[in-house]
Amino acid sequence: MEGVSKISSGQLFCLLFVSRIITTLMLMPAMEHAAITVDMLPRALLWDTLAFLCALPIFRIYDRGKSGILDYAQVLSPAVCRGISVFFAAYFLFANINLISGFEVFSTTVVFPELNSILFLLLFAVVCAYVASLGLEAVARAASVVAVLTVIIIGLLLAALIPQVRLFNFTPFFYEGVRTPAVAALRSLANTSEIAAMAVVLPSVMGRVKRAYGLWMGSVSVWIVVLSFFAVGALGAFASTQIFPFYTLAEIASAGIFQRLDSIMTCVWVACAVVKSGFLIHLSGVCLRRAFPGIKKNISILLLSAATVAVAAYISLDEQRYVRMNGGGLALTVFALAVVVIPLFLLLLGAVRRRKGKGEAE
Amino acid sequence: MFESIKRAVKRRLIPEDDAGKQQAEQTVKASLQENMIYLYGQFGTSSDFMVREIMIADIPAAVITCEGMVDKELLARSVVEPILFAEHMPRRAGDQLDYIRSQVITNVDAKDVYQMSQAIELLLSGFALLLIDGVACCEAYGVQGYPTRSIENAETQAQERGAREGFVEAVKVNMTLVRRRLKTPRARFEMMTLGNSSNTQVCLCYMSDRVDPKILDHVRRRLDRIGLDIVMESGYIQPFLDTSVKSMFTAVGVIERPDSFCAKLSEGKVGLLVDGTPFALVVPYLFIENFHSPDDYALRPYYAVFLRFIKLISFFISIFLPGLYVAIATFHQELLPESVLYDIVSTHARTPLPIMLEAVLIHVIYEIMREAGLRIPKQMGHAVSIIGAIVIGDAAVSAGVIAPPMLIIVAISAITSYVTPSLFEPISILRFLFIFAGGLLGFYGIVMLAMVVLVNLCAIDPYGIPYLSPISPYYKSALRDMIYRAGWKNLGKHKMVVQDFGSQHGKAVR
Repeated sequence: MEGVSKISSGQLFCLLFVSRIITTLMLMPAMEHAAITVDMLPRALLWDTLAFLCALPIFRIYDRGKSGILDYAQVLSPAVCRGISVFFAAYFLFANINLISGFEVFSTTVVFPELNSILFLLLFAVVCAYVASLGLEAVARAASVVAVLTVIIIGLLLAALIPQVRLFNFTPFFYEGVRTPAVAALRSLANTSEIAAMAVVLPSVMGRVKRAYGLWMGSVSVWIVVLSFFAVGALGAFASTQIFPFYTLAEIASAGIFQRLDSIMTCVWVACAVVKSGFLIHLSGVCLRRAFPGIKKNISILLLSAATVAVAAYISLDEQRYVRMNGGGLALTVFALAVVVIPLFLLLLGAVRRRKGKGEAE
Repeated sequence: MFESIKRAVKRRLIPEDDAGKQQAEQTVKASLQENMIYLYGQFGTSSDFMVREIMIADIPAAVITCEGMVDKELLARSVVEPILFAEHMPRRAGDQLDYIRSQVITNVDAKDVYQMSQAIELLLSGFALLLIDGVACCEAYGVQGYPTRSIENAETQAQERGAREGFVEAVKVNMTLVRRRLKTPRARFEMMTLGNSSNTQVCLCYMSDRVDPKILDHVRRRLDRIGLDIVMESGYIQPFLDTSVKSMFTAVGVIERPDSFCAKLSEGKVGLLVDGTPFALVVPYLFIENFHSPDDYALRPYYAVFLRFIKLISFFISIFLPGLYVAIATFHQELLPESVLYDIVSTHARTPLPIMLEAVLIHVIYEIMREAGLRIPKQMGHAVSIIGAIVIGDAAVSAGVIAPPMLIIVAISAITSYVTPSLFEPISILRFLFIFAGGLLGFYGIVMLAMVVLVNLCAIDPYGIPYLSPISPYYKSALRDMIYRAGWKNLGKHKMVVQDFGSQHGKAVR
């Protein structure tokens, strides 16, 4: 007995939250060109504001008949919808490649230096493809469980770090100027694929979507601030010398006779990464099948996973490729197109069509 | 009278029915001889096909039974003797049957049968058939007397407190056990037959004021689509009712206790009693119910909650402990305290096999012993214990083949798996998979596999009800009877039915 695929607003929140957790945990100061300092707070607030503004066109579209961006485009013009679907499929694929490449860097540099990166990518892609093939509801439900477990585990980890926090590690706000945290906030925003994901997934969500989104923005900011507080307090300037400073926090944490809780942090990373990657592959598949209805679901997932592995493997062979993909304006440009330009374009197109319709009626 | 027919059958002059094709069309004829030719054609020379020729007021008749399926004394006392010694028996065949129906046979169930297929089905279910020459109707009398097991305690679902009754193989007895506990006309039983050759009786049970009609209809449709030849056990039907998602976990509950069964029916679920097996089925069945037992509701709430937590923890220990041990000992030694680390490393240094293979080997041996203990005759059962204790427990460790910590891990994992017997199958397989994952990729592999299992569980949606309800999707009011069990003063306030878990999240069930 198949049901129509629907998730609750709470599940949407968990999906977006887990997706953001892994992005935050994988924060690399070298890539961000910004140290982990107390400026994470204003950076988080700026990110909040920008995320709120970027979501406004999407919610405007949603208010017109509870539709997502693709459904709205379909109503306006099937050809435009097709083009947008292809773009979003590519965007989610790009975000997934970004995630997997970063996770591969993490796994093969910090956790398993001896691990063959191709083998890692293959295994990870197979698991995420399977997760994506089970559908949005399964991923959302799993995200709910993972979100709760993650908060508990990281909460306990951070509690174990309390004795190691030193207040003298905290510097004044904007110690290195205003520009650095502002640019870092923009970079962070550029990596926020969750807003575009929400735009596509909205028709499948029941309940108070805007509230879920608002809660998500607030909780992400709190999350970033808390993590940064412990990173700065426990690690100080040492945090900026680490590839993954939030992972280093787990390395120095100890609880009773147990030391080096980084293995537990690894479990959280893997779980969150699997959920996010599965979600992105699913979304990419949805967009691809919207553009090309003849493609079967499992085939599309297989193709997208293969493409992810191939490109991520290519990137992993040379770290500069990863830097170029994440650095520069590529990520921001793509984000701006997906979240700002396309929704605004559709709203404009809709307004023009409505005026034309009114004119013809008169 | 029928000896000539019997001889003709033996000499194959009367063809035996091929694959029951004729059964579908054949009605009961007025001619007794034609009916007997047909029946002999169906049963051939089967020695349990018994025919007693009688004369009812000079009109030939036959009482047909299946040897061993009827209570002979009941048949003689309640059917044959009253017919033979009935006073004022009419002379016309049609009137005779009416007279017998209304005046003669009063203390056994009687059914009018007009189709031969139905007559044969009833005959093979222990009914006695009465055929009168000149009447195009067969009368079937419920004089079943086949041997059945007496009602005993359920072997696979033992409990501390509660009834000491379990289902038996006879479906009618099981129906009685259910009816005794649900004395309401809203408890409904629908009989159907499954299995082209076995014609096994299956009883669909539900409470009409609580069951979701869509779920009930869906179950009926799935049962109608079963095209099996024989149905010997409820496990034959189980895959047809199970989720379409390929998973090690089943969304069909197997219950041996009538009290559990009735409790599930009162939650709006649909139950199936299958003739020939004491294991009833219940759908939909949620994951969290594997950690429930009927005596949870008879014990004090605080203790019931404690037991549920124990079961939940035991489940995770039985699955994860061997894999985690292998992963930590192989890849993540830094997690171990120094004192323990030295002991573990030194003991494993003496064993010839890698830790992963050692774990796999000892678990395979354990599974072999468990299976042997299950199949072996009771008189020889002690030999298994001796072999297990001495050979594996002592000799293998002394010889340095396996390390003592590994034995402890296996023992704990084995014991904890018995706490939730309904999950024994997935636990046995998942344990091995996690050992491989931990041995090859450490925590990374274990978490990847755990995520696969988690998402697989999340994808299971039996009859529109999420399998992991009420944990995910979260359903707050159901939590009072999930891991935590509220007292009866609270539980009794609001009746909760299983379809609430699906409807709350707005699933449009198709």
